[in-house]
Amino acid sequence: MVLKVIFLFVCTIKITLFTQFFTIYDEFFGLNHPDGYKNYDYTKNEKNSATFGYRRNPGMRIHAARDLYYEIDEPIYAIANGVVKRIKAFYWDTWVIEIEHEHQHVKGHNIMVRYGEVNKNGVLVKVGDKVVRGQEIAKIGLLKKNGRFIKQPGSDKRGMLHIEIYTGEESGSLFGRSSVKYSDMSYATSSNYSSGRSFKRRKDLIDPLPLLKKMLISSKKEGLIE
Amino acid sequence: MKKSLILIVIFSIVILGCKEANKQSEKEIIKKDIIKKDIDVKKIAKKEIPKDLLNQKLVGLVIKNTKETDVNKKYWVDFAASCMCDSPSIYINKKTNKLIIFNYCDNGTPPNNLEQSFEYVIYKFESDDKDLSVFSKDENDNDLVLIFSEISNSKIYNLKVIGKFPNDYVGNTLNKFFITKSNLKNLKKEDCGGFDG
Repeated sequence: MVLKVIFLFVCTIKITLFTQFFTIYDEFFGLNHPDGYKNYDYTKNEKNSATFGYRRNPGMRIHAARDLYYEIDEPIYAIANGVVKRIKAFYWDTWVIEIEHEHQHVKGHNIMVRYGEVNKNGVLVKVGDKVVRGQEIAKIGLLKKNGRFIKQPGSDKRGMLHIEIYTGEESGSLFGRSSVKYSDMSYATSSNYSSGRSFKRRKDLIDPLPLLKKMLISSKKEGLIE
Repeated sequence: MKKSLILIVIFSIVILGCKEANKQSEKEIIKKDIIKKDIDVKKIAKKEIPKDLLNQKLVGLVIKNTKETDVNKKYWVDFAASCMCDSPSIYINKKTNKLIIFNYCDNGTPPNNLEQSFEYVIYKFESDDKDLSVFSKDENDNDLVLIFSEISNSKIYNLKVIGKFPNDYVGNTLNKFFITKSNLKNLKKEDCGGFDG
């Protein structure tokens, strides 16, 4: 009984402190590995495979995300308050969660964020759920295909958070847009477009880097990450 | 006062002398090291150039199945190269004596029309029937030596690198094994179907 009371007391203090952080710094929540993994610094300009605009599948596609390398099963947090719009199988035994967040990159439109390559058994939200900034929504997944896992760089079993951001100006599916040409994109650019490649995403895709940087600053200010 | 001054002067000479001696021995160590490296490289390098490594794209491979004895099933082009475009390819241009490093996913036909590549000037080839050592320098005079050794008449080569291999734009996953584009058709590669990351 005494232990239960202590536990509840500690929880109350934690929740209070968390709420205070929200009111002081109502920005974005930072993710766990802000500095990138080894040579896979996601903040670079198209230099490595973790960066936005890098090449994918020869001759076909341009990377529409920033890849943040993590260990398998590390938690993924909601970057801001929002509503879960879609959860579906992504590829190779991982899932993707799409959340409309209460942040306007373009006035009058909430951003849409795709959290990709999450563990299909580690999804902690469902469509229609309201999420709050910093809430754990899923865990990092492991790519598996035909019974074998896919090696990610530097380790036998590493995973990543594949994060895509859209301004929310357009409607309809965010992905599988083979008919959207590179020249149709409203904001996204890449030096790799020249060979007929395209992002194959909705037109309002943006490079997530500026928001990722904001997350890092606000979370460091709050002491939530080092 | 004079005594102290003399002592300081003698002390300074001794200290400087020691430093000079240290510098001298450091130089000797470096020199010996360079000579040793040179000998090491010459040990590997021998007579003729295996022609199939020249003037065509060399593609990095990984081992898919360590127990497999058929090389066509043992090695393959993996996810890092095939889907993530994270593996460098190599082209040794014997006509122009250029070593070119570029992305596996590059749409261009080497040595021309490559999207992003690193070029090295080859100043020496050394080889025998199975091994090839390519000595090159980049525009900043940095050495890069690539030593290809054929694995038991398999037409698959083990690559050893001396120097810094570039990775920006061309890929971070430098594979240990390479095959020529003409022999690549016998091997499988990761099917990226469905991959959307």
